[in-house]
Amino acid sequence: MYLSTSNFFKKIIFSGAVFLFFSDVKVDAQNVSSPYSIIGIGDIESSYFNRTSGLANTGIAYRNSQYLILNNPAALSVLQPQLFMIEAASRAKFVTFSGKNLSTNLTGKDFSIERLSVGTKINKWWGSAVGVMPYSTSNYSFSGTKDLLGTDFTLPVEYDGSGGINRYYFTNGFKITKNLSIGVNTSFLGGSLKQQDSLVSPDLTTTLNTSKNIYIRNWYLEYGLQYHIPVSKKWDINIGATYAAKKALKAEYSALVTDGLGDTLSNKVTKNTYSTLPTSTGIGIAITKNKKITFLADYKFQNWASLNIRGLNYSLENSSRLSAGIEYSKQMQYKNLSFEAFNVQAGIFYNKSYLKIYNEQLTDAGFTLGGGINSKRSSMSYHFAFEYGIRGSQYSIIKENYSSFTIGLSYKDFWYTKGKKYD
Amino acid sequence: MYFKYTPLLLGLIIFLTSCEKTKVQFGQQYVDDSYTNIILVDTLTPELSTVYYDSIATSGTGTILSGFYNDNTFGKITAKSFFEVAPPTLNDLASNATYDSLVLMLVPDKSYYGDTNSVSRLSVYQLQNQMGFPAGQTQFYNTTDFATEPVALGSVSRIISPNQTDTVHIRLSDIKGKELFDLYKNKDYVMQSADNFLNYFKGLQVSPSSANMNVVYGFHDSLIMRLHYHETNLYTENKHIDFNYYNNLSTQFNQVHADRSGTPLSIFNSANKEVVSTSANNSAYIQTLTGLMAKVSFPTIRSLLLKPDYLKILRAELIIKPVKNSYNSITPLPPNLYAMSTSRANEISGSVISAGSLTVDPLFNENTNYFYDITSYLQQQILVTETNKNGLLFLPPNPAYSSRLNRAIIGDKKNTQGSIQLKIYYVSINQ
Repeated sequence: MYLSTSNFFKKIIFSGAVFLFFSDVKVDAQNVSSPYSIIGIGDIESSYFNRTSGLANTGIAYRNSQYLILNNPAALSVLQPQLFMIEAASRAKFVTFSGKNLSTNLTGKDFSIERLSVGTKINKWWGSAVGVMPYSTSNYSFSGTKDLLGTDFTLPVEYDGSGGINRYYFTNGFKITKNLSIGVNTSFLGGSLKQQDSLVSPDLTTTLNTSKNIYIRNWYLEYGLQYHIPVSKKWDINIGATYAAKKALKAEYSALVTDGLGDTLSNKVTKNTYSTLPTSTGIGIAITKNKKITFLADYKFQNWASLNIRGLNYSLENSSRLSAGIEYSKQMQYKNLSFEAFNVQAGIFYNKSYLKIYNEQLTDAGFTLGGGINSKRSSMSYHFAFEYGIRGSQYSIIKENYSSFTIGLSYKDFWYTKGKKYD
Repeated sequence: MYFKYTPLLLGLIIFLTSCEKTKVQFGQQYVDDSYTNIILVDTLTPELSTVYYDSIATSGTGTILSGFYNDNTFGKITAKSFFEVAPPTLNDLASNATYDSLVLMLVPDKSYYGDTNSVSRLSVYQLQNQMGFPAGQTQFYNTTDFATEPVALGSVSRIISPNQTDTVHIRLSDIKGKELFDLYKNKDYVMQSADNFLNYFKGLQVSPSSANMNVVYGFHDSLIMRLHYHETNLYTENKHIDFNYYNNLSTQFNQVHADRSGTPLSIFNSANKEVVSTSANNSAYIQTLTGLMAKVSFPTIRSLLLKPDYLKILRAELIIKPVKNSYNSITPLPPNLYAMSTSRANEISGSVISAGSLTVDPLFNENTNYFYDITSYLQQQILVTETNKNGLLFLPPNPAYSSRLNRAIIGDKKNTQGSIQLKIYYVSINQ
């Protein structure tokens, strides 16, 4: 597990290459549709695709010296000194759609690389990570109609939504005092929400494609703090909080019109405006017994209602998310050093999303199971999480029953050492 | 250990990504589809005219056309066919072989123009001179003529039912028949080759023998001039010698003449080769064998460019409804009318823009129409900046073009009995 300084730079280059590869893969791999993602900025991702995925992504107060916990940027301050790590996570998702609008149940499935992070402990009080993960995704497909002006007829149109906003982050956590840490997550939110309508009319024997794109981008800052309360030798309590101010993201609307021959009929920027993210706050608590069993709970809130966004049969409402989890971590002793052999996790969550459709605020509730092992022979760790959830209700237009499997890989090494592995 | 799972992981990726995106019917109300609009415009009026051609090549169409029909609109149409026959292979005849008769046998090809219940009177004439092309020409035209002997070789007067009559027999002169029989029997020089024979027997013309006839028929060009004779031994044995249709020099052609005096179409002549519909009863006329074709042009097409945010013509359709009651089983519509590109000069050598399709409304004829997709043509024509005199000529494809008298009358926008309708679907964008 010793590593010379020159190898460190090789790893940086390697991780950069992997990073670029995966950030590209993600865009094309999604084919599970999410009908509601036509509204707003799409589905806002609530998963962090990390060790907290098995805990229903509960982790505002969570910290771990061996993993990049980005739920709260302050958590990076407790990374093990000199640790260098690369984490990647991917998710497979299976969805069954039912609801009033559908005559039969439909299913969808996909697989995508969701996160890539590189993190390190820069010095005793400063942990840092860079990476990419989804902020929101737009993904839908349906058949519709378009009016043929000058007649009473309509023409068949195929709609397809894709894209999303990615979060390219540079996260730093600082230890201020022995028990107080603060952190800031500096993100660049950027990406395109694309909606394409394809007119393939047998009457017109020709094709017309209109591809509308909203290119969204801006810097986004999220602050966090964690406070550690060593209650007793047996009990530890962590509390945490996160905050992000309201932020207007630049939104450039463009439209490309092509015909069946592939000729471009029009390609122009139609407007430049803003798409605003409201204030986000979160609080959490983690209670650990004997450094083995941890109980966690989070509450998150975003006041979307203040933005006053509404349309035909929908409005954006304040979103909130409650989640709780429990983790058991098996510690092993090796030559008077302690390390984790494996962990098991469970969690539940209840999410009131920012979408209100036909007077029903869309909810998302479910449970998670997770577990991780650390390889004894290499510096790899594996983490698995299963999630089952129901989005919407029997009264919803579309109800989604979904299950997902998240696989996280974590590679650890030490970029600088004076011969002693642990403090 | 990491690489151990790689194939498994790749397999999973392929399994999960190889399927189509699930289509869930939700979201139409959230779509703002007003950015691109597809608009139907049917108010652009195409210009309609009749183009007259002095002559139409009629060589080698495979059809022997003959008859007369007095068409109230298109005039008195006379069709005559000119062709040659070849000598038979020479064989020895028995010394007691005796001439019986000479017959021209014509097989109807089921095409006709006029009243098939009327009595047909067809005559066969021998040509005075052998047919030959003028210098520089390789075809004969509907206007070509060759002089015939004043007296017919023979004629027939009967009702021909094109769908039932197998063969029309025209009895020819016995004097000529006996002459041919003797030449054959003697293996005369003129019977020894086609060249020799044509020098002696210059060719035939089949023509209507009087204006009393009221139909023009088409016959297959596999006609035969048959010489019947018999040999008497213990019993009488009937035999025949065939003079087959001969077209090695591509000399067969049909002469078609239209006498339009007294009809609305008398305005067309060599000096008046294009007449717009507004000067011809709001109509245009198609009968290619007599030189008439309809032309549709689009001089106002560029006004589309003035529409707000016009982008492109997505589709253009031309629907031609023939004038009601202008067609029936006596004067049928051409089953096919091609739309061919032409220019100000009205040349016929353009490319086929659309083959079109004829839909017949058998009940009331209300919806009988020819339909054309002229999308790509108008997409090109809208780019023409100078005064646009290009257009589409409507004519039947070969061989009907030069061998059928089917005709059509097309009305313009002001004609209450028929119309041409231009439907243009174009795309515009909302800014």
